[in-house]
Amino acid sequence: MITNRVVDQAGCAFLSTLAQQSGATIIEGVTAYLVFDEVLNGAAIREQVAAADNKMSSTRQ
Amino acid sequence: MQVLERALAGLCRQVFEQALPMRLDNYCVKDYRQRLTTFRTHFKELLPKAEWQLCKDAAAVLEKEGFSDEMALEMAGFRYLPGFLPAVYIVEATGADLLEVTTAVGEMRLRLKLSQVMESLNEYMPHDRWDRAALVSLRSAFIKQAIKLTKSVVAEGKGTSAFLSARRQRLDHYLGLIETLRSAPPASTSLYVVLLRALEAVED
Repeated sequence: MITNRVVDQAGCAFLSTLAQQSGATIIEGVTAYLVFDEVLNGAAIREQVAAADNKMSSTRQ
Repeated sequence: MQVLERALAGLCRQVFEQALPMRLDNYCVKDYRQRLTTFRTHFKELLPKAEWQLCKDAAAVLEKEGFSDEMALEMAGFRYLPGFLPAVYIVEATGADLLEVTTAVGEMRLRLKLSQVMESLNEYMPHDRWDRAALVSLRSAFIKQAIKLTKSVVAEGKGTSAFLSARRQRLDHYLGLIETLRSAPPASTSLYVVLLRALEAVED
């Protein structure tokens, strides 16, 4: 479930690219992603961006 | 959304490259959030004037699109976050002030012409998957070495110019290689390996 969230948000190549670039395991990658998503208030930002339909162009979104 | 994901990817990469603490708990989130707040508080002083203006302009556009002023500025600043974790790493290793460290990170990036190296690496066309893997390793190794040098600058406490002046000859050799890189784009990754060694030698 958690991995699905990471894949949905960051894309299917994110974890494998991170592992290749940094040597991190998938679990470590997921942990770091979730921690920083929380630090940057990712959920609130995604919610606001989604709510900006018709105010913000789709390219900008 | 892409800007957010790019910032997250950059932060994740830095955590593993710098071997920074990482646990999935509230303490870890609180810890990084606290440091990020300090970093953001000094954004205006840390960014060059023109960059700060660009950041403010981007935030103003986001505000018009319905974002709160605070969130707009946070979002406009995402692209500067890759510089945040190396600074945190140096602060943790040396106990120096975050503002002083961030300034040193920026100065060293400029003096070591890191953007030109990264630009050249981005333009290089890999021949096969090993060449591609070598590029990834090189990119990370250059950043790692620049951060290591910045850590030495901060630990020495005499400033970037004094640090580099004492290593003038080796620095000139490194900068000379960057000129070679610019004048004739390399056909293999060998020149980057030599350049990386020259950068490592600046500290020796």
